Formats: sequence, C-alpha cells, structure tokens
Amino acid sequence: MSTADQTQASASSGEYENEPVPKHALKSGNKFWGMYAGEHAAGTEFMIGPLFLLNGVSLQNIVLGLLVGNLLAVLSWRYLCAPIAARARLTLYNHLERIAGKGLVKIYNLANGILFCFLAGAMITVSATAVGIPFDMPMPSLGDWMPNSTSFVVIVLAVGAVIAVVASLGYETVAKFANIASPWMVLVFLACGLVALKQLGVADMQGLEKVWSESIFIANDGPPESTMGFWSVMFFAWFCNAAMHVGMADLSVFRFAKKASYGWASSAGMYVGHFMAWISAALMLAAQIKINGDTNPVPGPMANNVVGLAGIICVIVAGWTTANPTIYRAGLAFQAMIPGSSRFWATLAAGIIATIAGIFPAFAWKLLTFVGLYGTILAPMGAIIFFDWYFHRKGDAANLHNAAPAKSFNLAVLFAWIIPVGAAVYMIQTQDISAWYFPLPCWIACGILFLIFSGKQKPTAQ
Amino acid sequence: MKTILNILSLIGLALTLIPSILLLTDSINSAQLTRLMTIGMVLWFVCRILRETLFKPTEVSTHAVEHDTPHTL
Repeated sequence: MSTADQTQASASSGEYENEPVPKHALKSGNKFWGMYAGEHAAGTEFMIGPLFLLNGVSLQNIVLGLLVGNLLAVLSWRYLCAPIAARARLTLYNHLERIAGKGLVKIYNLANGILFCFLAGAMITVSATAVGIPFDMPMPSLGDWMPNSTSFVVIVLAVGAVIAVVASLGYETVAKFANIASPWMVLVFLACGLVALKQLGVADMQGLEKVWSESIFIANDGPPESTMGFWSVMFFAWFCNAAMHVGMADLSVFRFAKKASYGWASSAGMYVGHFMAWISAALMLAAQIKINGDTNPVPGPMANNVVGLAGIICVIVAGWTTANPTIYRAGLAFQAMIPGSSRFWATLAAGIIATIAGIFPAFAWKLLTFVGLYGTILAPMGAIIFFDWYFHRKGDAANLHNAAPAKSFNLAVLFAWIIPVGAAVYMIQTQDISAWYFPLPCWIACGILFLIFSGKQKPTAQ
Repeated sequence: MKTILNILSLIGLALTLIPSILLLTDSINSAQLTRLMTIGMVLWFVCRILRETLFKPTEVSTHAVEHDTPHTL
C-alpha cells in the first residue's frame, strides 16, 4: 500500500494513524476522564499494592508517596506529553518515525513487544490464580520462581491459550468488553478495600497503622529487610507509567484532545487506579494475613476472601482485559519486524511467549522491578521527541508535518537512547539499585545526548 | 428499552458498592454481601452487553486501534 493509500485508509477508519488528526475529529474532555479512570484499574493493581506491603512500606509512606508520585505523573502528562500532542497531533510511532526513521522505530517497537509479552505473562498468572480456585489448585507462593504444581501449569496454559487465540482473532470485541467492565472493576476495587477494612477490625487511623505494621512483621517473619520508603514509592508511582507520559506513548491519545489541559484527565487514572486500587489491594493482603496468617499475595484467593465470586471474576476480567490488548500490540510489533507476515500468527506467537512467561510466577512477584525496567528502557525515547520539539522544531507543528522523512536509521537517536539505557540496565543488574530510580536520569541524559549528537542535523523541509 | 437497561445497569453498579458500605456499618453480613455483589455483577454485565448489542454505542475510543500503547499498569 502506498503512503497516500495508507493515509486515506487511516483517515477513513477515523484513527488518523499516518497524518495529523483534523479539527473535526477532536473529542471532548469527558471521554479522556472516563478512559483514564477505567484503563488504570487493571490486573496489575492486584499485585502492586500487596507487593508494597510485603516490601515493608509503612502506611504513612505508602499514602504520602502515592499522593506525591501520582501528582508528578499527572503533571508529566499535562505539561510534557499533552502540549506536544495537542499541537503535533500525531501518534507516537508516526512522530518518532519523522525523527528517528522507520528502521529505528521498528527496534523500539520490538523492545516494546518483548516487554509487553512478559507483562502479559504476569497477567496470565494473575488470572490463573482466580481460575484455579474451583479446581483446588495449589497457589504459587512468594518463594516460588518456578511453577509449583502440574495443575498450575495446566491452568496457566489453558488461560494463556484462550487469551492468545482471542487476541489473534481481533481486538475490537475485547476492547468493547474492557470498556463495559471498567466502571464495575473500579467499584469492585473500592468495595474490596472497604470490606478488607472491616475484616481488619480497625476503628481509627492509629488502629490501622498498628494492624499494618503487624502484617508487615508477619509477612517478613520479623522486622522487614526492605529499603522501600517514601522515595521508592514516590518514584515508582511517578514512573510506573513512564513510557506513557514522559515516554510520550500517550501522544496517541492526546492528539485527539481539543486542548492540552485535557492532560489533567490522567489524574482520574492515577488517583482511582494507582491510589485507591493499590491501597485497596494492599488492605486485602493485610486482611488475609490477619484472618488466616497467609502472606501469599495471590490475587484470586485474596479477592475471594473479601467479596467472594465478584472478586474472583474481577481478577479474571482484570487480568484478561489487560493481557489481551498487550498481546495484541506485542503481535503487531513482531509483525512489523517481518514484512509480509500474518498478524494472526505474529499475535499467536506473542501469546505463546506470554503464556510461557506466565508459567513462571517470578514475573508476577518481580512486577515492581519489571515495571521500573520497562520505564527505564522505553521512556527515554520520549525525551527525543521532547527535545526535538522544543529545540529543533521550536514548537512549530508545521515544521514537523512538512519535514522530509528521516533516514531509515538515525544514529544520533540510536546512541542517545542506548547509552543511558545500557548504563542503567548494567547498574540495575550489578549494583542492585531499584529500577524505578532510572527513568528520570535516563530521560534527561537521552535528551541531552540527542541534542549533542544531532547538533548539526537540522530538520529539513520537504 | 434503552432507559430500562440503563437504570438496571446502574442498579447493578449500586449493588456492587453499597453492600460493602452496609457491611462496614454492620447492616448486613458477609454472606449477604457476597450474594448482593454477585447479583450486581450479573445485572451490570447483562444489561450493559444487551445495551451495547441492541443500541449503537455512544462511546468512541480515543485510541488508535493498531498503533498506540495500551495502559497496562
């Protein structure tokens, strides 16, 4: 298909993937508020809150860290991502192609696809813990990095197969179902938190802090060895979605916004999903510890303990509606690497990789580290867009739209990206520094290196 | 029909949240909570799916179907 044909096709589908979104296609603010509130109450929330508790984060640190970190995330969406999106009105990939070239975007896409597969794998594990309840499946415990039973493997394979096949067949039906499920899932999270509070039997904040500390003590079999405090929680909350805000993936969303101020809509996602839902999930684990001394942060039984069947279904739906689009996009990324390959088979391959990853509970237990790594690797590409926009294009959208296509592989972008990311991954692996501290320095370093390396390559008009 | 489905789905949502508040105030027990939340769940999904099937949806996705990154966290 020629570029002109692609542009016409994307315009007729109403998605404008290869051209700036025209004025008549812009959307009102309430769509963005609803979308963010729904999309950030996902399967991962069931894991992240409990992992904070197991890492010994005090109640005060979790509340303050999440308040500040989420605020910084919202400000990043509002003042870094949304202003560029509302002027340039391009998808991340189209915008990046014009700077970095198609070849380099394929590599970025591949990195995205591989990371998505492992994230989807963790979500398949989450769903399997709920599906396994009626079958009396032995639940994997925090110490289990490998599969702990045959029944766990069989259920993960079954769940993964369904998710992979459905994702391969298409995206629209699952996306519609996810939209329907979102408001209900948000309320189930809230209900879970309220019921967990009741089960904890606390009457005031002091009582809650005492029960929380006891839960940490029991979970760690003594005083916690963890170093997670306020700064860890704050940086994690700020950068767990680094790829979306400072990483500019949400250019694809805000290009439909009438004004950059729609970036405030991200606060709905942060304070519903990454505040209320995380704390609710953590309270569910605290309640489970109090009731039966079980410190396993397995989402299915935790949700079952508080609200019964609705909780089990919520875990399955949250895991499924998260894993499904993730596998679908991973498939598209793989397909883009092999010209002429079938989307069905590429998506199925992504689903198989995700399912194999799901067999290993380690990916779910190490979700905090994985999410930090995900931001560290992908977010710096957003710095390329940010620095190019303000230093090379001077904020002029016409300059970007009329620019000659970038060469297939912009080496300035490649080196600006891999040098800080390589150094960060090395330090995460060898120095044991938490991954969520790296997206910010990598982002800044990537932007500065890009300016240095591309100093003499001014964008040329077409 | 559309209005009836809308009202029923809202009742479904109410049955998802309100029982947990009633449990907090000791107005119901956990068995009742589980039952009410299950009814709420069935009501919500049945009515919303029927509504989406019978009537054209009003929501338009702001996502590019093939190229943007999903929110997964």
